[in-house]
Amino acid sequence: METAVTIVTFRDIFQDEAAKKSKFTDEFRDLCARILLDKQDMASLGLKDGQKVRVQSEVGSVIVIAKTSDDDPHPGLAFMTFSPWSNQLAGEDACMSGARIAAKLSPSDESVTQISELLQRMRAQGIST
Amino acid sequence: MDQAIAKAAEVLHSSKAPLLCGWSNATLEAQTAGMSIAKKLGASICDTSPPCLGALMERIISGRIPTCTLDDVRNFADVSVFWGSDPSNSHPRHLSRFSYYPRGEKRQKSYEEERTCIAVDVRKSATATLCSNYYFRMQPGGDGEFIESILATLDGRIPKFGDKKRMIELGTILRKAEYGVIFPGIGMLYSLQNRLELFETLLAKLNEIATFKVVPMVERFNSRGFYQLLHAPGNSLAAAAKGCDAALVVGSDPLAELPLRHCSRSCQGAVDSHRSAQISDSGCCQCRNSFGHLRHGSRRDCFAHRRGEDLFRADHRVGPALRRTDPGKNFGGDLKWRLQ
Repeated sequence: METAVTIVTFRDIFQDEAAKKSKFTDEFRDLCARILLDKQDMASLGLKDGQKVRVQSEVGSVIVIAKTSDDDPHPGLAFMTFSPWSNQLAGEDACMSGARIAAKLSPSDESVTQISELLQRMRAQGIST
Repeated sequence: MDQAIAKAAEVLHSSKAPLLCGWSNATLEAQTAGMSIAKKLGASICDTSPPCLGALMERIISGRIPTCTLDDVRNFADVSVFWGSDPSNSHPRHLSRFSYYPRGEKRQKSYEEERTCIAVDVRKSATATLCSNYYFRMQPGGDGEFIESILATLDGRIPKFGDKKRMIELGTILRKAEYGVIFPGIGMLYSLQNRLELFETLLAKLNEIATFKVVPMVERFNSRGFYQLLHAPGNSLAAAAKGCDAALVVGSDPLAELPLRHCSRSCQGAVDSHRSAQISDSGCCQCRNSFGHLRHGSRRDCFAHRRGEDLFRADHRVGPALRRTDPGKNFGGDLKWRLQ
């Protein structure tokens, strides 16, 4: 089961506040490692609020929590806070909030990607290049 | 701290191609010091803003897009347009101190009565919720079409895109504004990408009718300061050209863009896909054939234009430019453009 979406990143004041305290806390991870989906997309993936989803883009993938968006209907459009998690998916030209990222979603049983794992990936990439 | 500084100095000293990046949350003094270090090391320096913000900043600093201070916004603005930006989350004091809630010199009745707040976004952000009836939703990448629709309504034509009735309503609000301010966010800039001239056209059109300014919603505290310093007189192209003894001019026309006295002594070679009248006729470019003109290649085939975007980025990295402002240094065989 897979759904293609366009992810738009945005800023969240609570996430910013959590980042100021520490980026290695559960609070920060919970505010970052989540994707807001339209009801229709949640249904097509067979997901309920709080379940995990794999987000795969051309350049990377992360496991995050899926949540239903409170916004007006926006099928095919998903939102993620601008964070190290969304940045894993973004190509060279799509950093910072407001970027658009093409990605595929599929339900997952794996655990949510931790920031320590993101750091390991970065180091591994640095060594390989 | 001393240990950290010593280690940083050691790393930088031993590096062959250092990059100094960040700076957007630093003070002007720190940014100036950073640029001095970049100059000394011959390093590249850049902030973390995306290139599209640089394109807007350049237009604002060069005066092509009118801007104002936040004090002006508080004192005079009656229409605030948050376009691809969400100050409620990214700039928490923006609405309360400057753009919506405060009383100002000419806005004594403040929000709802004298100030109109408009949000244009792909998602109903906290700011869009605040704007209520004046929230205009668009599809990702639809900013160009949205601008065309506004231009149509301002010209008295029926807009092709979006809800026609609502677009006409928006056109009416903008037309009646006394002092409007647009706050574009990164969302809008990403969407427009290389079509920023469309935004320029909109500003020109709006300013025929009323006063409209642009204040970019930069995401870091002092990105603006960094850009301002990069464009300071000491860091300008003219200053760099004045101090250099060799220059590789790529896809540009120095006679049209540089002061003649600098041009005549600095232009040593040109790479362009066509032979410009200035270069071929002026005689000021002494070695204009050193690299040769790509007479038969299209602009796409030309190396210079293929790397156009990278060149733009290079413009914002003061490494090469600053190095060439150093009058004591001979760059004869050491002209390194840090294109990545």
